[in-house]
Amino acid sequence: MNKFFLLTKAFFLAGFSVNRRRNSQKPVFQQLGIFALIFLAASSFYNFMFFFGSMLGPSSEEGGVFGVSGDKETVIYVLSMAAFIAFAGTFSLMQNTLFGGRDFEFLQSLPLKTSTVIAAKITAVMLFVIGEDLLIFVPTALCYLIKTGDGIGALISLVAVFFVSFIPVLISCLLGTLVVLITRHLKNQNIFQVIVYGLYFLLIIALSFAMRAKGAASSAISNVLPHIKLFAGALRSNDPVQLLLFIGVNLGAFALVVLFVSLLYKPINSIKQKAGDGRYRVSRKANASVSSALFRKDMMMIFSKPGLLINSVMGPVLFTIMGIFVQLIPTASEDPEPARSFSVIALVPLFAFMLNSMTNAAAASISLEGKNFELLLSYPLSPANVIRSKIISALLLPSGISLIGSIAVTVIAFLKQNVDAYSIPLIITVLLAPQLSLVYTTIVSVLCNLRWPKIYYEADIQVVKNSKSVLFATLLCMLPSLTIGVVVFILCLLAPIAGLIAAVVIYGVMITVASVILRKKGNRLYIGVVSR
Amino acid sequence: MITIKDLSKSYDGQKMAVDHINLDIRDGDIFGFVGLNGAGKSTTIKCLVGILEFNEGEILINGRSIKASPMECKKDLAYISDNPEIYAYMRGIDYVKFILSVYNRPYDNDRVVALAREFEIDDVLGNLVSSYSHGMKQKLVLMAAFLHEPKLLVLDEPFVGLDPKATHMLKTMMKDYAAKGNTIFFSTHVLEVAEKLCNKVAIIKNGRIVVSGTMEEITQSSSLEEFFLEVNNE
Repeated sequence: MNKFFLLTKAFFLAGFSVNRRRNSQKPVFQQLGIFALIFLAASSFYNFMFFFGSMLGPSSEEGGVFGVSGDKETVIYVLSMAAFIAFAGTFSLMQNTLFGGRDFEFLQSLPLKTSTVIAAKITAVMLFVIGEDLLIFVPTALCYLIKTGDGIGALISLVAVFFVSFIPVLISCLLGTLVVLITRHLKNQNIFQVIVYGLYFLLIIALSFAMRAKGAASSAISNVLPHIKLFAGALRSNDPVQLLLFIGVNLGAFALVVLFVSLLYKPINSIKQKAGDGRYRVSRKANASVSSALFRKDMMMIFSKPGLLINSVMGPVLFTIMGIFVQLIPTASEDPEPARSFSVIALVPLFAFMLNSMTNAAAASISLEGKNFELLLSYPLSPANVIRSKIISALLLPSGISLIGSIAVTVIAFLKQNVDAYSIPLIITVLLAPQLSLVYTTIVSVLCNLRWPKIYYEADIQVVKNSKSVLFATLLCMLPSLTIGVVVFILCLLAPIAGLIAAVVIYGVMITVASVILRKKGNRLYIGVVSR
Repeated sequence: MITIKDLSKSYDGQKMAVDHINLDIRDGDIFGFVGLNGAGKSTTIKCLVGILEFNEGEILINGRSIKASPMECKKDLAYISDNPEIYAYMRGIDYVKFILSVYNRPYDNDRVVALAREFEIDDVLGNLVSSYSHGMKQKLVLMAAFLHEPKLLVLDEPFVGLDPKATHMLKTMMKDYAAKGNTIFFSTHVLEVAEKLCNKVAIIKNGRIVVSGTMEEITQSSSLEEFFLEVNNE
């Protein structure tokens, strides 16, 4: 048992950079202030996520603010959403934690049972997810307690927070393991994994829309994640037996998955990729310019790392899917009135701003150089050269997808007669908005990575998902993008031309400011990446 | 070729990793830089090639300051780190092309193949670097460095991970390279190699140069190993 706790602590500290914060030389009050700031910002972020999730739930006409009526139902709904977010978000995290590290041989050489290692790895991820769930849940729990004074209910909910994401994380774990098992020996395994991940996400979105079409949010979610029914029962009747059953089911599932993955852990990690026959062809353009050599290298890097590739394409793909689904999936009113049709297409820039601001692959692009960054510094390359290449390579793929997506959304809007000739400014906004948000996000992400680099790490996922740079990039992009999105959405409803002007002017200013900061501070930050 | 004046570097603002060191290395020198683990060898090397900023002092390469003119200095040198964990997602040949492009050198396939054959990695150039062993990666990095013909080669522990044949070949290549008027600066723990290969040597201890000079001066009364142990036991 001691070994399990020791390993869990080690994986958690290593995976989520807790030790670096612990060793910080800053005064205690300053550290507390930073913690409070991060907590507030992260809370806001997750509450935005909640808002995003609630949009997928039933409409307000069906009862309550989020389609749920009654205080207890709201608590169930919030926790169900937390579980659903864990279901959607831990697929690649789990996969990388189990199979993406370089610690396999080292761990195998230690006197440790494989099941202990697997249990510790999964628990480390669980702890991270529980932290996220607490951020989502704490504001709701406080409101619930103040409003109802139901201490037992609040206690049951608090206990449930620690277990509600168990099964979603375990499902991600199983799926991740199976995908690695199937693709491990393939030459293009990264691309294959990204496609599987895309299909998985598409399924989740389709599921969300299906829920919206069907009925009450919490019951719909509990049909997808049935273990929540047990928790919901416990809370509705304040019944500790059902709560214990809920905990038992989760722990039982945990034990089974640990056992299953333990059996596959060694065979999967022992499969060697085919080395190839060593032959190569020299292209006619063997001599590349410095810029194109850097760009080629960066593109190779993006395509070699599934987590990074997913971050690159997820935003544009999701906003395209949302933009299409929102127009195609019927809602409460089957016969849309003109005003509603108009509002549907006006939602697309909001989706684009919100989802493209998650396209922060550039926030890990410098960190992912790892120890090679030292080599990069020893080459005769100007910081501007490297930074430019990072921006262009991070922009190319998502902006291509996003342009295709915008065109597809526009075509469907015309076919469904959701826009007319008078809405040309709206169409331009739909085509332009994603590109603007991507440019802003990429520049800010590169800046964040230069400011908070992490070039010494064990597994890619530590910098792709959990680094300080990615966290700040997400906050600095998502919060303003959502605000702008709402403003542009309202203006588009009132007068599309005003929405277009607002999007161009606000993003124009933000992109300019970010570019000026990058130009002024970029060199200094770049040179200091290793020293810091 | 290299002039280091009063170089000081501290990571935390308190303890000096490198403490006011001075070195003068001329064209054609093979300079050995030896010291215990944590003595300051890698920090000095990283300052020399422009990876780390330093607190005090000056480093001149070919008369140009690495601080004031980093690009010009870096064009003249090749750095080979102690850890050959290069881009795993590239094929060996991609890495070679990348390095040649970065240094603005033309790609000559015959030359690449000939050098790869000498290092015995010609049959794996088309494979991903991730499939290479430690020694193969080391050979690839060394090969790429020799390909762009720098005036200064800076190597941090270059013999680690190389098989005996490759070690012998590298030593021969280093000698030939220096004989053409180029300069080699390398750190090592293998004192026998340093003694046979270098014409100049410096011993660093706790960030300070304890002794520096020609190999003849230092090994007048004892071997380099005996001298090194004597210095570090004091």
